[in-house]
Amino acid sequence: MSVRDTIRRASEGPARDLWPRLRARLDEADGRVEIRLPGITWVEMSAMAAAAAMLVFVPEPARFLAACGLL
Amino acid sequence: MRAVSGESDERLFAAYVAGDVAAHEALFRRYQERLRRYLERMLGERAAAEGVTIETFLRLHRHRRRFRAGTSVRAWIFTIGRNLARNRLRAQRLWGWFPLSSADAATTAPPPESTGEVRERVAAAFAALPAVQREVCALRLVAGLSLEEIAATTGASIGTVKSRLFYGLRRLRALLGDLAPGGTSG
Repeated sequence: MSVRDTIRRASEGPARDLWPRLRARLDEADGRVEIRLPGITWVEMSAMAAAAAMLVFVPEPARFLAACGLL
Repeated sequence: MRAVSGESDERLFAAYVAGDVAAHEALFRRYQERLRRYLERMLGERAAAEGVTIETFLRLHRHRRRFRAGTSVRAWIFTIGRNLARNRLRAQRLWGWFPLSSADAATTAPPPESTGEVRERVAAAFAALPAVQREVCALRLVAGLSLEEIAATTGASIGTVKSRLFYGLRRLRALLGDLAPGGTSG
């Protein structure tokens, strides 16, 4: 018997059917509503950076936003 | 239930994506044992291997519509399983919940059903291999994948796969040669 055969035979254990466990998990997953948030791209990153910069550099942010027509 | 046992993986997968539960079950039953054995060699314990086998098929189910025609379903299944196993091993190392190395764990804590000396020796020999060799040897010798499928699963070139298999097998022969008298060349 070769080493390959020894390994193959040693790897064979009593098979356990995992199908019922998978089905249960799938049924569980089907009943759940998955919420997926959109990924953050450079556009969102730029917008967040601009908003943060505005808060730091503009002396009166609320007044600035009101002047821009955003508030 | 129609006969699905003789159909190719790709046809079964197409039927499964179209909503055929029998095809899904046939595909799962075709791979559950081979995948579980491979994962057991990678993770060193049966319970974890079973959990990751189920997780692999859950992941497959979630992304089933992303399958690209012309690629191997088998390689895809093993790629998902491999990535999940690697994540698990990485998390164990990161959090230190698993203070022993995987080699020590496999030597000191064999799976419950592996009571024989041969099983323990084989598990310890695999655990003693470097991770990349262990992975290739398990995919080839335990799961029975072709070199091309192993290359697709691991993302390595065929040459790299052959090299890892060669050195891994050489080490395994050195460690297990006495268990296979007269057959150390195989």
